[in-house]
Formats: sequence, C-alpha cells, structure tokens
Amino acid sequence: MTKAQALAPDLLYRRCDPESLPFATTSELDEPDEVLGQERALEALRFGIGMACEGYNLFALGPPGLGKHGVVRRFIEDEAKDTPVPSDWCYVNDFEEPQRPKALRLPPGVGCKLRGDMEHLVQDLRAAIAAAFDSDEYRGRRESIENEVKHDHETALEAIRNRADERGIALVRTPTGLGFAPMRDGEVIGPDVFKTLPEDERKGIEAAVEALQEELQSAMRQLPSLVKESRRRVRELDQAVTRAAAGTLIDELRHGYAEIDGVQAYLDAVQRDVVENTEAFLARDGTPVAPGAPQPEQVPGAASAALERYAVNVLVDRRGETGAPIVYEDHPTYQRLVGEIEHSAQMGALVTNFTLIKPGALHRANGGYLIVDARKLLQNPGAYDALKHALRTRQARVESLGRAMSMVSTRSLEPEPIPLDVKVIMIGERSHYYLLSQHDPEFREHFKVAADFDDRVERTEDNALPYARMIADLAKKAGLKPHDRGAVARVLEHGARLAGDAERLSVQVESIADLLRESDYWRAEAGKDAIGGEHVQAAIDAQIRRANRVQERMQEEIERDTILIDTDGAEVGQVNGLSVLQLGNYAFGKPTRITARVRMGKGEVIDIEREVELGGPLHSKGVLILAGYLGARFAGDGPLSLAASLVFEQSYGGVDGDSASSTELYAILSALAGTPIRQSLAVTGSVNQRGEVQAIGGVNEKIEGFFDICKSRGLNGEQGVLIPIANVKNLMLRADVVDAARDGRFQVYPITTIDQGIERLTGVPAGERDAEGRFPEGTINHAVEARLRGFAETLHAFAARGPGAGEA
Amino acid sequence: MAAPGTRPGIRRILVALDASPSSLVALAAAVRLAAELKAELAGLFVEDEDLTRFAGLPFTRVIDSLSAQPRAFDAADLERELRAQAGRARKALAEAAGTRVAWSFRVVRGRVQSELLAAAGDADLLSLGFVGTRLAGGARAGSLARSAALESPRSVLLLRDRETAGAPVAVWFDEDAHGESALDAAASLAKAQGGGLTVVTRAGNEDEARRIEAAVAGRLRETGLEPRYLHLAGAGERTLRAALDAAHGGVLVVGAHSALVADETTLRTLVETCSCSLLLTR
Repeated sequence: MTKAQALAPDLLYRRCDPESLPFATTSELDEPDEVLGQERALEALRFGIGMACEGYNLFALGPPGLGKHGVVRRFIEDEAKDTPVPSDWCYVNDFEEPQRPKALRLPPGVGCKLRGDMEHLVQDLRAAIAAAFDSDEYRGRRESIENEVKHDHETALEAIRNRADERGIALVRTPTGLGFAPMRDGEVIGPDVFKTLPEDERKGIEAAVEALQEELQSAMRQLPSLVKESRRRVRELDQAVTRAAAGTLIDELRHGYAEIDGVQAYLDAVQRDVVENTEAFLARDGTPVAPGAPQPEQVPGAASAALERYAVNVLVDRRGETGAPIVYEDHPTYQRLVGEIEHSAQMGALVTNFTLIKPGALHRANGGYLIVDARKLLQNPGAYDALKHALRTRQARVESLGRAMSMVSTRSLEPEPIPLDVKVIMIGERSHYYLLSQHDPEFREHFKVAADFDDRVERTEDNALPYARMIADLAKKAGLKPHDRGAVARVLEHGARLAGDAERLSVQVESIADLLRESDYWRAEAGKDAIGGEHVQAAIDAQIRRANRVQERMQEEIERDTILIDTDGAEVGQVNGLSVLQLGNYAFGKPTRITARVRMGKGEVIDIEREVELGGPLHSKGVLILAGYLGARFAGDGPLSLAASLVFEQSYGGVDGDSASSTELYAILSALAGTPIRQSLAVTGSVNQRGEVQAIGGVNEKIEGFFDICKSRGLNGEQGVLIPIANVKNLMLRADVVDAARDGRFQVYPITTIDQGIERLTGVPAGERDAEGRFPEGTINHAVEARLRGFAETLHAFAARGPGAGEA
Repeated sequence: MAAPGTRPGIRRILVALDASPSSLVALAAAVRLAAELKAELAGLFVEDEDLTRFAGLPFTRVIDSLSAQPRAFDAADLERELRAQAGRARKALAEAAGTRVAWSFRVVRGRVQSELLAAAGDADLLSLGFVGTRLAGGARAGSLARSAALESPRSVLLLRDRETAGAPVAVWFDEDAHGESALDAAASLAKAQGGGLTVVTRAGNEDEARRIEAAVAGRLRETGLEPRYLHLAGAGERTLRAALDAAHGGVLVVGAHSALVADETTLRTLVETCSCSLLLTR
C-alpha cells in the first residue's frame, strides 16, 4: 500500500491560460454557431419540430438558468419564418342560435377587412333602409293598408251608427267604451225625460239599444283580427322594402369574398336577418324615426346594441405577420390559454354576446408554436388539463372554467370550436418532466419528444473557444463592454467551479450572464474600457461577500470555541468531518467534529443521529456499511462483539448523505485502537464495505471550509484535508488555498482506502495481514482486531457463566 | 300691407284636450307654436253633458273597448272615468308645456261643441284633433272638428293624429289681409315645425308670380325662411287638390275667407276630405 501523498498545487486548481486563447478581447469573436453543450437537446428540438404527427409536442427539460427559453425560441424562429402565415379567425353571430356563435376561417389579414366592410354595410343599410321607409311610396302603401283596416272597422261602426240614427239613437263614446243613447233634438235624452215616455216607447228604445249593442259587440270583436291582418300585411311590406334596399348592398359586399364559402353563407344569413329586423335599422338613439315608419322601442343605445348582431369579432388577426406565429404565454392561466367570454354589466345584470369572446394563447398560436412554462402551467388551476384537452380534440374551445368543471350552469355562449393545429413546447425542470411522465399517463401521449438540456460541457482545449464565444454573445446581448482574454479565462475557470469539476464547464448561462454583468459593473467602477480578470474576480468575491453572512457567523463561533473544532493536537475517537450547507444559491463547507465511543456489545454501530431522527437514510446507509466493513475485516471468524456509538457533535439540524462514512470509520478505528487522530486534518469521503473510499460532492467547499478555520487560527503546515482520490478531478479551489498548498502550509491528500487514510490521520501504519492472516503488531489494524477479539472473549466468558450467573 | 312687426299676432292658443291620440298631437303642435310665438296655452277639457245623461239612463250598457264585452255603466262610473281622463289631459299638458310655455287648464261641463266654441272666442287660435273621442264619427273629420272649422270665430288648427314635428307647411296666399295673416301663421308654424314652407299662389303669369314672390319674401324676411313657390292658375277643385298635395302630408294653411275656399261648401269639402292637417286662419 502506498502512502497518501499531498497533492501537487497544480492539481488543486486547473488554470486556464489566457495566452492560450486566440484573441485579445471578445469583440473579435464571431457569434456562436450552435448552442454549446446542447447538441442532444437541439437534435430533439429539430426532430420534434419536424414531426408533423399528432402528439409530437416537446418538453424542454433542464435545470433553471440554462437559457432554455432563448434556445427554444431562436430555434423555432428559424423554423417558423419559412412557414406560411396561418388563417385569421373571426366569430360572427349565428342568427338562428345566438348562443352558439359561428367561427369563420379567413385568409390572413382578411378578418379586419371583413369587420370594416360589415361596419360600413350596417351604416349603409341604416341610410338605405331609412330612406326607403321615408319615401312617399312606402308611406302611401302603408297608410293604404292601415286605412283599409280602419276603413273596414269604421264602415262597420258607421253602418251601426246609421242604423242607430234611423231609430233616433246615438252611438256614444265614453272614456272606456261605446254605448247607445236615445236622442231627441240633437241631445241625449236624460233619465228624467226617459221616465216620462210611454212604456211602449221605453221598451222599444231598450230593445233597439239592446239589438244595436249586440251588433256593436260583434263588430268590435272583429277588430283584433283586422288589426292583426293589417300588421301582417304591413310587416310583409316592410320586409319587401328592406329586401330591396339591402339586397344590392349585400351583393356588392359578396363580390369581395367570392372565394370564401364561409363568408358567402354568413352573408346569406345576414341578408335573411336584416329583412327580419328592419326596426333595428330605423332606430336612431334618442331621436324618433321618420313619421309613419315602423316604430322600434326607444331605449337609449338600443339602436347600436341591436345592430351589434352584425358585428365581426376578429379573434385572430394576422395582418402584417410573416411566418408561423410563436406565442409565449407568460401567465398561462386557464382563461389566457383557452380564451374567455367576457361580460358587461347592464342594469345590474351581467350579459354577454359573441363580440365579447376573447382569444386565448391557443388561438393566437394556432398554425404555429406555443411556448409555456411547465411550472406556471401546473400552478394555474385547470390550465394543464385544458391544454391536454385542446391537444386531444385538436380544437380550441372557449369555455369558462366554471362550465368546464361543471360548476356553473347559467346560460352562456357556446362558441363553435376552432380547429387547432399547434406545436406546444413546454419548458420545465427535469423533476417536472419525470413527475408528469410518472403520474399522468396522458402526458407521454401529448409530449412525445423530450429535449433534455445539459448543464455542463466537457472542458477541453477545443471547447475553450466556443465557450469564449458564448461569453462574448452573452455580453453583447447584455450590452456590456468586451472582455479581455484574462477575463474570459477567469470566467471559464469559474464555469468549471460552477460545474464543481475541473474537467467540466457549466453552461448555466444565467449565472454566467450575471457574473458578466457584475464584472462590467466593477469595470465601470474602475474606469476601464474592457473587462479584465480582476473585475471578474471582484464580481465573484462580491457575490460571495453578499451571500456568506451565515458562513462567517459559523466560523466566528468556531474561532470563539462555541463550536468545538480542534485544528491541532491529537485525540482518540475524534475526527474533523466536513459538511456542506446550501443557502439559496450559495454553498459553503463547515467542519463538524465526529466522535466515536466503543464498548463491548452485539455488533451494533449506533448512529445517534438516526436514533433521534436527525439522520437521513443515506447517512444511515453509510453507517451500516461501515459496520459491514468492520465485521468482515476484523471479525470474519468470530462474533463482532462491538457496540459503537457515533455522533456529529453540536449538530442540531438534520444530517444526510454518506460523505462522512469514512470519517466515522476513522473515528471508530481510532477508538478501538486507542490511537489518537491528528486534529490538524479534516476528512471527507464515503466508504464501501471493502474499505475503499468513494467520491463525494462539494469537495471544493468542504476543503475551503476547513481551510478558513485553519487560516484564521494560523496555518502551521500540518493542516490539510483527506479527500477521496476520485474527487481530485473536481478540485477548483480558491486561490488562497492553492497558494497555501504551494507554500506547504496546507495540504490536500487523495485517499484510496481506509488504510491509507488511517495512516495519514494517526501516523501509525494500518497494517496488512501476513501469510498467517495476522496483522503486524504496532499497526492500527492489529490493535483494532485485538480489541475486538478481547470484546468477543469477554462476551463469551459472560455467556459461559450462563443466565443468572451475573446475578449471584 | 301691414308691416310684419305690427301685425296682430296669436297670443292665446286654446287646445281641446281629451287625452286621445289626436288631441295629444294637437297639444304637441300647439306647444311648439306657442313656444315659437311666445303665446299662452289654454287647455280645455269638456265634460260632456250628453254622457251624463247617458249614464243616468236605466238600461245603459257600455261595450268595453278592450274586451268588447257589455257592462253596466252609471253616473258614478262616468264621474270616475271623466276625472281620470281630465287628470291625464292635464298631466299631458303640463309635461308638454313644461317651463317653455305659460299654460292653464280648465275643466267645464256642458255640450262639447258649444263650450269649445265659446272658449275659442277668448283665444286667437283653437287647436284640436280631427277625430275626437266623444262620438264615433265618420272616417274623415269628426262633427266637432267640422263645426269648429266652420263656426269658430277665430283661427282653427285641425290636426291628423300623426306627429307634425318636421312636417312641411304649405300656405295658400292671396294678396289681401287674409292672405297675409295666413302667411304669418304659416311662417310661425313652419318655424315651429322646422319642415319647410311652400307658398301656393294664384299667379296667372310669370310677372305676377315674381311680384307675389317678392311680396312674400319681403314679409318673411325677418323670419329667415326661404319658401318654395307653387303658382296655380285659376280656382276650383283641381286647384284645391294641388294645394293639398303641396302640403305633402304636413299642414295646409289657408284663410277661411280666402278665394280658395270662397264658399262654405268648399270649406266643408276641404275639411271633410283633406288627408293632411289644416290651419284655417280668420
């Protein structure tokens, strides 16, 4: 076994040499040809956009901040510009069934023309119909019809009056009816006079009056049917006049839309309706209509309201558009997605009609592309289901959420659904995609193409220039000054640090763009023309400074010995472990003291964190693995008669992850062997049952966390951190750490096995079994094995004395 | 010819009101004319004596206008109905006159014809509908309208039951005092209605026509009206027809003593047969 040697300073931080970059500043760089590191996603996008079949909608997934929106949008814009502009869509009144407005498909840009033409038509119809009804011919014919009826009635009355006259009886009109009264000398006979008449005469008068009353009654009963007949004939006349006046105007309009069947059918319906609704064209708000013409009800605003039925509601207007539409719905509520039917308040009641139908994103994107954020879509009640429903039925149907969910049953509009042909691109995090895939069987039917965006790219010589181009592009779009090559190199190094890997680069464009903008700020503060490496560094330092208040407080408490961490000396069963805390976007490492106590027992390793439910499952797993290691390594042939307890000292929150399992094992080995561990070292790394140390995450933060404590107490050259050898490639440490390593004041040791680690920690050889299977004396393993055997023997002795023996 | 500023104008207009549609049209026309002339409006509602007697008869039945069913009718019913009718008439007058026109309203009991003619003696113009509701008269002018037209001592405006706002006015113009007063009244009416004025004359030739037109224009200068002219030679029924046509369904203004209606028979024919409204000036 080779002894773990401190890593060379070069391996702690993989520099990017500015001299290796073939430009002076980013202003010399061309725009990037393709999006760096997203080849897989772009292939998927190309495929998804190209597939015209149903269900081939896309889900662009990846962590936030990768610039997925921008990539998707740019990609679709390229595709959409050569696609023909789709149709306009309008809603018009269905005169037969006003509750079900009709959808009209029109060539692009024609919707507004039709709306304007219909407005003019209505104006022209008002003028033409009013003129027709104002003419002498119309008045004459109407009067003749009305007079005919009046004449018939009056003739009947006149006949009765004449017959009455002959008998000396007058037809008398009271305020509420008609009656007959005997006359004498041109006056009605009064009751006093009547009484004086001879009885025969009186009876004669009464009989005559009675007979006349019956005649009158019969004549008056005829009146309603005469009036009805008169109304019917007047109505026929009105319709004939309107038909003549409107026909020419509507036919003129028809010529402009000869090729469009829907419009022809609509104009037919308009023509029929105009004839039926003459009154609407004759009313002028607030002014009476021409004398003699049909009299509509005089309600303020009634005229324009009545004529609104001929309006055209242009739902989708494609005037001036080129290519297929690309709609990004930033606020994908149900209504904004499927459209809504608005209401207006009239006399305290909410009313609606087809002119109040508003389009949704689906209507606007019809024939093109709709981009929505998965998170926002899922946050809005009903929106996701509405989108799926639209994709399944291939129809855009405007319906209120209340109706869609059968919660409201009030009478409302049911607009004719519009055929839908849209490619939907949902953008979301990976978790959204996987959750939807798992829990919604329909999801895969509708979103068959996943464009999986990567958050990192390999750090190679070849990728340096594309990365620089990406930086240049981001800076240009943000309107920043150019970066010199030193700045680009520093951003590239920071990209590796963001990726947490010296061999990878982060393509989290949002974080990088933030850094560029902030670097530009520091450049401006310094009064320079180009952004240099120092400005990038200033921006990084400022980012850390803004975020590290909690880290500083913790460090202070360690320095003040409130949190107990030793950085020199040696202790048995006590190791400095390292953990990472993530607060918002900022992660930092924090040393934690891990201690182990051992005694005789039944082979248990008690994880105190788990016992009190502060340890997560991964942590428990790590602890059980190390119990497995101990049993196999040291008690293969006999019982593992150990009871060990492990604890993260002064840890009051939860602990998870197995990155401390090697640390815990060192603590147990130290406790068993009774060999002190150097407190100048801190440890990270998980362990498997074979004693091999495995990679962990956050290695840079962990090392820096321990380094900061040591630095504040004074570096003594002994201090350092043990990391799994697999994590060496992840090292992108801070400059001060690297400097300290270079000066021999702080070391990072790559560890392969537990034996290597325990040797480095204790300074005592671990020991390997000899030919007889024994560990050499004076080694850690020997001491451990001896201690465990001692436990086993003691336990055996206890057991041999039998139950109750102990009680004697 | 009297100077326009000094001519005796219409200062008081009597409106016969019974709340029937034609009486409401007569009211509206009278209000407009009164506003134009700054004249006073006097509403008159006559409680018909004949009706009182009719209601007192033991066998009296009334055929209801709405249901065409007979029902008993006595003096109390009549009182109630007349009161309500007078109330409606008064309300219509108050609403139509508003604050624009000074008005009064009076209810009298008696024979309609004589009460109306008696009241008309105190007014300068009597305005009433062609068809009243008192008696179911013939298809043309009611007997009341006919007797008012023939017997009223003052001018009479007889109105068809259709709106006169905006309706044109035609006036028969003779070159005498009657013609002038007819022209003055027609000018006022045309201004009140805003429907244009046609002056119909008996000019026999071009020169006469020009001369009459100049005279008319001079008289109308202050009114700002620009009348159209229709010159009809001769008299007789054809001329009368042409004059009626010139009114175009609006109002024909004619002096009761003009050459056009020289005798009572012609006047009676005019009143009974014309299909437009009529203003007879005296």
